[in-house]
Amino acid sequence: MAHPTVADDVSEKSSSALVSRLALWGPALVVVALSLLPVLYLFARAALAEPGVALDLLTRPSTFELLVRSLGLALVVSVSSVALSLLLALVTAASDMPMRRLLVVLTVAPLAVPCYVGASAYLAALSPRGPVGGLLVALGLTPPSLHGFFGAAFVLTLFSFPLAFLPIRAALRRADASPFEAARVLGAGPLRAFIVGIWPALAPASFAGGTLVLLYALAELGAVALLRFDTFSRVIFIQLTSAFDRSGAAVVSLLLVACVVVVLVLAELLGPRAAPAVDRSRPFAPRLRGLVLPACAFSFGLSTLTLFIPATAFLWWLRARGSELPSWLWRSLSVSLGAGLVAALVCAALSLPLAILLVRGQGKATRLLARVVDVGFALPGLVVALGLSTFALHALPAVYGRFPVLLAGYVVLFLALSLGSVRGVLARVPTSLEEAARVLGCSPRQTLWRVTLPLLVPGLVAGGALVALSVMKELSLTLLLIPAGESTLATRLWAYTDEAMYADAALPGSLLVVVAALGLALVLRHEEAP
Amino acid sequence: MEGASTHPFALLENGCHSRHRDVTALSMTRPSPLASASKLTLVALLLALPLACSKGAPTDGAEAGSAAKAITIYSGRAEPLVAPVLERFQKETGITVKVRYGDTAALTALLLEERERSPAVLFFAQDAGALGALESKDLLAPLPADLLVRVGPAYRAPSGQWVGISGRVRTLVYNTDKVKPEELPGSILELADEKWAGRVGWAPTNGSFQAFVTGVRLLHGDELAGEWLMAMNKYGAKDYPKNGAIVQAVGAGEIDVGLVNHYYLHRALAEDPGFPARNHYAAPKDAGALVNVSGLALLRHAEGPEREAAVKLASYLLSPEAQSYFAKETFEYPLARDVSGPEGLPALETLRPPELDLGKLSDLEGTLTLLRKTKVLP
Repeated sequence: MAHPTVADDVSEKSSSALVSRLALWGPALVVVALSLLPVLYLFARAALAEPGVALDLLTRPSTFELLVRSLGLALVVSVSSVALSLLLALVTAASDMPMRRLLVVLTVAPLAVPCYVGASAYLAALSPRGPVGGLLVALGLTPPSLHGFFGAAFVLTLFSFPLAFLPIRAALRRADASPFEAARVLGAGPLRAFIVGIWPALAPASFAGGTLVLLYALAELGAVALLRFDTFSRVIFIQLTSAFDRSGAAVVSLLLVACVVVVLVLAELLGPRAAPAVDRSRPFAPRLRGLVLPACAFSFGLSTLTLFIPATAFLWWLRARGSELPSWLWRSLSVSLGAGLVAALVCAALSLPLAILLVRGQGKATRLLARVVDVGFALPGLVVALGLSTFALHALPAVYGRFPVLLAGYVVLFLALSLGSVRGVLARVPTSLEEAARVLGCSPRQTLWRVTLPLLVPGLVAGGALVALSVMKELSLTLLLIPAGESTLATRLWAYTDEAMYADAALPGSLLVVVAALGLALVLRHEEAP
Repeated sequence: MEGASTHPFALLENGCHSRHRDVTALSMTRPSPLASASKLTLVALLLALPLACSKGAPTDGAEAGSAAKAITIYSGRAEPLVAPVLERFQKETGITVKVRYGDTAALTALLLEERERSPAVLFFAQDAGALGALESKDLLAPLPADLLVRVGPAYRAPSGQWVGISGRVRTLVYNTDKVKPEELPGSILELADEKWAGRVGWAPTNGSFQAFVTGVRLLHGDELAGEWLMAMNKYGAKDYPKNGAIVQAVGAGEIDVGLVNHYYLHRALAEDPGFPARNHYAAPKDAGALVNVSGLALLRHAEGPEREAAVKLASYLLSPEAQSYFAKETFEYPLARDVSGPEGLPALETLRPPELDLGKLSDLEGTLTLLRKTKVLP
């Protein structure tokens, strides 16, 4: 880059340069260490295992079967999510669709409902004493069973498709309608015009959104365990809990990590390249005409499935429970909120130097850093937990089984969220502002403090909110690393659903959804009005 | 501006932000509603922190003496069953008990991994097999003799390294609307049959079930046990994570029979007298009539004030007060001498379990291997 940047100025004066360099790279190295530690430790553990055990596990037909099941489920969920998201993005972009703003909010809202909460709610709803199941039983029908592949695919798709919807919708809003209109003028039907004119703009977002959902579904533990479908994560969990030698769990975890890395690499290599950003001259706003009614039925019907049924299930069971609030509720709530807050603060603090490095710096090291952070995000919570807890047990026994290890796990998993937010904002801060400050006499540090930082605050806050939200919803890492005697809303929901005590599960479930919804509303506040 | 990245996680950042927001405009406007709302949330979260600290502290003052103020224990027993009695202990002595709940086998594996570095000082297992397994790996310390003599010799380790707290019988819980008692088999092994296909529920990750399988292996040999497990799998026995879930499923008609411990049904009946299920006891001396004990073991590495507190807890759980809690509230068989058994249930002495030394159930590892080999556990 031609113009001087913060990083360039930093290299000018040597002593303060060294300090500034450390200030930027120190946290970066900490993050790299934390992100790679779980995987490295698992490698060591698996290598130390009796070679027969590892080989046997890897070559067993059931392992291959597991691979097929896990990838199969993840692929089905991913493809369904992208298809759903495309349809919904089109519907919400249509100019003659009523209540579009409400529809967008309703469509994104399932992000507030973690998959295992959704699974728990549906189990509660379809239970013979639940609202939907009870109705079906009264009508003489057997309530459908959610256990198995189709139930798992259904629940996972319902509650993770917003991950694909957000980027696809953003891409659609940036898309230029001119190619589409030109194709229509030249006589193409609406579908062909769409494929030729609009789809190229949507392809990268669809692919990336689909990959995100794929990784999410691969790592998912809570929902598949509750719905009793054996995927990698569930097997690792049971290996951990029913084999005296944890090496088995380490080996299967590494297999899962290998899958994740392969998916990431393939996505990078095969993903359609984004076209250069073009100022759109005309926004793409299709007209649905006769399809308005079916579109409404479809989109609002989907919201019934994702929001209304779980809400009804929880309210029903809450009513059955009575108004007495149990003593553990406040403690679980405080731990959830407290952990979210602390993790958000730590991630925000770490995001700042990393974002500066990644946006203003250049070179192979910074690109590698970005990849490492992304790998941490993609790793399943269970694997991170296993790696960190084993490491703590053997190398840092003072913190073993206590909050710092849990916090480290949250940072590894969710730093990418806050970093992405801060990077996005920093990328839009023109370097000319910083240059002007330098010209007017500010030192690099002063420039950072008085010019750059205030502009980054919205990004830091939004990133922090995303992290806090994700921490509160997190289940698999928390289950393994939470100190004895403590619980979060997520672990409470899990435990009670496991025992089929739906009335008790409804309490943390509802709270989780409310808190998550508030956080989500905060994050989405800076969505433009359509 | 960075080109729109195709990297999946980069899209998270682009998905939420609007493209056309002008950053300079941002710096010149007054704080946006987002910023104020965010500040409000931050304040709310900060207020939650003192709540976290205050609500967690024990409510009563302690007369703990030289015992520690707080100890950690691992419990293979379910929280709804033991939390009330532990809370009573906390109130009486002021010692906070932090519990990690989990499956007995999982916690056994964890303890074997952690060894002396474990934060736990006491292990409350759901069955004696797990305790025997820990004993054989030298992780336990003997309990004081005055504690041990409170139960009969059959219900404690000869080495004194674990002591039984409450007794449980394996039963078959069945749905009274769908199954007639005459249809039910005398031996649990007869369930591996065509006519029970898809009607049976079990909990392969549950400690009591695993102890039962160890019993089958001891009585009939590994081969027969393996064949039975594979047959049950073939006939579609349904997996549940917990015994409580099995009983709920039987009551709801999801399955017709379930392999559980006796007391879950009585708890369900206490909550709902119309619950349509009953217990069926296996024929005398059958593996399915196994009487097992939930028990306590002191971990070897516990020392000083923590050990004292652990011994106090063990003593409390063997006291008449806690033992009658088990009899009255959870419908288990109290093992301490001179405490009356649960109402309405056959007395412990009248049961005819198979002739097995409880200590011999310690080959939990072998059972887990068999369960994995027969694909009952993945």
